[in-house]
Amino acid sequence: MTAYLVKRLLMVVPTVWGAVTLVFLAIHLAPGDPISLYIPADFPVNASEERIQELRARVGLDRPLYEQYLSFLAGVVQFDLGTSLQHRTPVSEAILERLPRTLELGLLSLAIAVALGVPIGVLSAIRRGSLLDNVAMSVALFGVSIPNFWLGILLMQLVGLYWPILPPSGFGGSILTLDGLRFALLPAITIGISGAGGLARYTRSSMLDVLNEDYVRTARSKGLSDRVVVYKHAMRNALIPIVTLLGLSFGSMLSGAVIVETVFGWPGIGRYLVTGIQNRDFPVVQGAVLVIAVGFVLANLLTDVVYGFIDPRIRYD
Amino acid sequence: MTEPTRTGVSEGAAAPPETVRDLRMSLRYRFWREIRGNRMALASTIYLVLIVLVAIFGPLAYDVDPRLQSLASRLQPPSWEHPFGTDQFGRDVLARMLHGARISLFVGFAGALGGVVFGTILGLATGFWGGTWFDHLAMRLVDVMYAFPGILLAILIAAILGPSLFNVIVALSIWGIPTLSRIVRGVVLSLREQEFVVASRAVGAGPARIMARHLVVNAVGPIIVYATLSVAGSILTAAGLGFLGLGVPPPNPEWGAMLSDARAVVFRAPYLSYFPGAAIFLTVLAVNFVGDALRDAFDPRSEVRRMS
Repeated sequence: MTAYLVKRLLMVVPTVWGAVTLVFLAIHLAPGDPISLYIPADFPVNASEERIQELRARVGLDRPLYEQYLSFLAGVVQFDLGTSLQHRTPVSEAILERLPRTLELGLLSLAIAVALGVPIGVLSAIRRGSLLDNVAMSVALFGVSIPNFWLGILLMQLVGLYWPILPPSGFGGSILTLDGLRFALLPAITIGISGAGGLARYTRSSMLDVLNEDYVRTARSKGLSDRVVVYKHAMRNALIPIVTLLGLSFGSMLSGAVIVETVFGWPGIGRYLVTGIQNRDFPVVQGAVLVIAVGFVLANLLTDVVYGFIDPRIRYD
Repeated sequence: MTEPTRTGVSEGAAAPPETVRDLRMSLRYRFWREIRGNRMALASTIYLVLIVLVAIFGPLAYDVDPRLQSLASRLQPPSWEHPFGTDQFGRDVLARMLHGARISLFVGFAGALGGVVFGTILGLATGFWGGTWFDHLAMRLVDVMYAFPGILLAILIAAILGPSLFNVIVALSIWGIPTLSRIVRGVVLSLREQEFVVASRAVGAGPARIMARHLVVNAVGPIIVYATLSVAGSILTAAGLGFLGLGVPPPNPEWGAMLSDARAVVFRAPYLSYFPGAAIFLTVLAVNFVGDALRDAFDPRSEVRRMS
């Protein structure tokens, strides 16, 4: 077990380093330098050549590429992600302020996705081929196919125009408070429904695999009731691979948050990233993308570790 | 990474050697058998044919400028004059939907095609030279690309390149590479040691010939399935980029960008979100239904499941 943990941990380091490097190279090797994106060529008069040079120097773009890369790496290790061009404030501070909000929203979305998706998938698998199965799987495909920004807009209109039970948009503090939770519910439902569709489909196929196993047939043939076979023998084993999917799902919750936070005006890291894109503020884009990617890699690490614990058959070699 | 979802294709994907002609016939046969037996997939295929026809002929039949702004007719609900109403710039929404269909469908298909082509090439090469330093390096790179979940990789690329039709397609193509390359690599790895590949190597066929004549042909099933599914993902991601202002730049009509306009007047003109939203949703749903049917037709595992 320890060897597995150590190996899995060591595998994360090159992935994170690769992600950091990819973001850096993407931004610095793309045609046009980040400052020329920030101040377009047709910008009004006040963008003098000196001002542009001053900006370049401020973010270190006047130095050779390898020097910029090394200082960027050194900065990342110390969680110093540079300064926003637009607000002149440290990116890492802004991210630290917004990250908990996105994590809260992501966890709430994940909870909704699991609460909806897993039972639907299990029921579908048990009643395979029935009307219930067909309807449930069609609905799951609806969830996978609906653009989350449209679903968000529809839900906003629902509570804003017809059924005022929740605030249509905004932010009310931590979701641990009642007011905060009220604001978080709509965006979380929006993100959760897309995730639930995928989870339901995956749960169903995982459950079907297990139901075909010999030990399930054995359990049936020794006369155990359907209930015991399904819940004690099949479901427990079917849920194991689903745990791995949770790490991946958390990633899709994070990337869903980028768009859905924009729809609902939720002041998280996704909204921060989108504002950074709109302002062409490259340190903000760079920092926000990095934090989301690293968060996702760590979430996957966590699920793999949990997976190793709950399924002793899994060992990395 | 040990996730079962990412390995994608099951081990049994290696089919016995078939000539190209036989294979094509059986592909078509399997496709039609599956589509005919599946009402949702049949309806979806019909819908997709219709929407493509609408994209081609719609703008010709309904000859209204989708970019023409008019202060006098802002935010009008649907009427005889403007069947889908007008947006906050007084532009005709039906005209924007029809012209938008061209852009949204083209971007979605072209982006998916790019991802499939480059992903297949990478998957073929890494599978064929599996276990070498080249394979290891390429797969680590794919791992790194997987570190950017969902739409994030496309956002990063589109944000750096700036909004344009071509750049969106580039972003979507790169976004599609990791999944396709892993799937094709998996198939190729299982095929590589099969006797017909070993035999063709023995008679002196080079890597290019083996890949083109034997490996691609036998990987066509999974490639078609995931190409179809990636069209759905590509349309959805393109719309997401458009919504964030990273797609085809305004004032060009694009379904995702139209939803962004609708968001700005979400309570004043709720109808504005219905048309582009429903169009994206139905198109993605239809492609997914067809993709699912194709997977059932090609995946040997689902075959086993149906029999048991």
